[in-house]
Amino acid sequence: MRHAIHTAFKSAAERVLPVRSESGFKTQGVLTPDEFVRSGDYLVRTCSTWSWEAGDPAKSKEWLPKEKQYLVTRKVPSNKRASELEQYGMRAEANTMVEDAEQDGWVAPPAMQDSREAEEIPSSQPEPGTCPPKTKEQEAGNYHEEDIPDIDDLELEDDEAEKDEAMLPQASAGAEHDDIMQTRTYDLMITYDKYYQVPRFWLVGYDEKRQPLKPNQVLEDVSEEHARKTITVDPFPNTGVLAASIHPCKHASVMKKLGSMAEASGKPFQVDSYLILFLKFIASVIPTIEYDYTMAAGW
Amino acid sequence: VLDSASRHSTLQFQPLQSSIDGSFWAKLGNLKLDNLRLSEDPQQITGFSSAANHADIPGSLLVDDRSFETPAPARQKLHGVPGELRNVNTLERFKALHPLERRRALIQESADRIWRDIRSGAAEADPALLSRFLLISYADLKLFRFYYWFAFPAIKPPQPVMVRSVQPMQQALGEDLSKGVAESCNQWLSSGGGRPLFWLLRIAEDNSVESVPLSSWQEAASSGERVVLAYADHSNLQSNPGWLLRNTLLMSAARWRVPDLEVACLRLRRGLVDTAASLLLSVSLPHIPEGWGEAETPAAFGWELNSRNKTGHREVDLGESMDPKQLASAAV
Repeated sequence: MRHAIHTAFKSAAERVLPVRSESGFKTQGVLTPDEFVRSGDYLVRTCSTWSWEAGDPAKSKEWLPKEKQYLVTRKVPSNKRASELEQYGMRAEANTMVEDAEQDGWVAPPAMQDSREAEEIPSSQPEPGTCPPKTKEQEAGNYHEEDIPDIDDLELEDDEAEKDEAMLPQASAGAEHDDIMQTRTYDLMITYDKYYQVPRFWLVGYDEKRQPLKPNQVLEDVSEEHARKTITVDPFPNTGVLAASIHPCKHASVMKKLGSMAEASGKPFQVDSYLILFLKFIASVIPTIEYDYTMAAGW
Repeated sequence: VLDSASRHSTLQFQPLQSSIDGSFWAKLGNLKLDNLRLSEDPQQITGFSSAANHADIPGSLLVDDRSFETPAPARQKLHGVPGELRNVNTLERFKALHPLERRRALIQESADRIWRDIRSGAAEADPALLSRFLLISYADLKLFRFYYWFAFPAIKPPQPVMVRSVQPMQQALGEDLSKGVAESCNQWLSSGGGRPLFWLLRIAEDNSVESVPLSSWQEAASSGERVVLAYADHSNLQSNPGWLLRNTLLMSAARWRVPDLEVACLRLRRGLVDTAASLLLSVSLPHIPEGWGEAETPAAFGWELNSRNKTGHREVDLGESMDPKQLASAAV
């Protein structure tokens, strides 16, 4: 219930809060919508599996350009579950970096330090260090599954396929086709979260048979450490369909820390590379999903 | 160089996989409430095909909330193709579309339009017309269960297309030329979203490569340059191209009347054309006799198999992603 109230509050707050206009990616780890677009443009240029999506025009957010509502990369493979991977160490380099940044826990909450915003809606200050609480269902991993029988398998004549010698025969039930690995796939999306002023990461998964994964199955691809803490299920802003997302309440502090670590090691933290760095951080949360976040210039 | 192993065998195509995003059903649900109500009239929709981008995973045909937009949206990395949605109001009516005779009639209707567009030349001007598809469905909006079946009609030529050779593009064209092809294709695909699945590559004597629309076939072919059909291929297999190439090969045989053809089956890695993963396919096309298919459209195949690779529809249960009751209980 707390999560529902928080979500309702957040969406009401988003309607009245002004968009962030002052750059704060270095000092607070947050982005303005313009900076999100700029960094997204850079991501699309350097990692070309990512592209901008306009989404349904009826659900467009006016603080972002119509054609650049969110970023998407589709059908990304995930061959193993996160728990398997953890047994022999995770997606290495990204992880050490993020672990360093997280050493003190995920410290400070995202700053809503623009005093004007804070005055208008004083209660909009997220409580320090709290993500919206898990729902009972999520905690129990106990999703409601109503057993509705499949419609009867009809006795279908399939002589047509037999007559089509130009169709490559498909392996029948159960057997794996030689050349097609059975693997889970994910559609991954990045939206701009106006309330927390950071990018927000969404996952929509499909099983080996291309059936949509239920949210608790998505958790199997999230590292054990993060699965319970940071994944919530919310309506995807541009479709309204429920999807798993990594809750953004700690993103600003992690990004601020990662940015200053990068600078300390002599790599300038530019707003362009914000999302690349962000994806590197996300890779530690979902170690088995093999999306593209690498680029030539040495991050 | 002919690959002797596969020489003169029947070319087989990897079937196309459908991919329905939850937002497609959400949007259809809204449309039914607001506009369509109980109408079962066919809806014109757009599907979005993508080239294979991973060794293990073929590309697919996506339908989502944007499939209902008119005109069809131009989207990065996706190739829009026209489709028809026939959503019926009850499970019984959905099942009534299943018997073989009924299914044949349905797929033949789409095939008629494809064949008409091939013969008139409309498909050369707009290659998306070659990949017209059909989607039949029943949406149970109380339980959020959806029953659907895609058909990707491929018109059967009088004789099968034969393989002359099939090789990785890098091997077939050599390092330099295949790089030139990849560059030209990447540029073609990135300049302007929503490029069609098919276009042409003109390879000059100095091995320079130019991407041009399918409609410039006559001009390209009469130039004396090497002309290769380019195809954003959803197949990820090493010796089989994707299903959607079939109607285009038939068109090449029927309209261009060429006995053989080279096809660059383009596959991506990390979002860009990859010369090792892409194929150069050389095929012998069947001779199309005068008057063939004039009286009626030749037979078409292409109902998608179900998740057990059998003849049958597919089902999806989105109760947990859409049901407001379950939404409420998940939020307690």
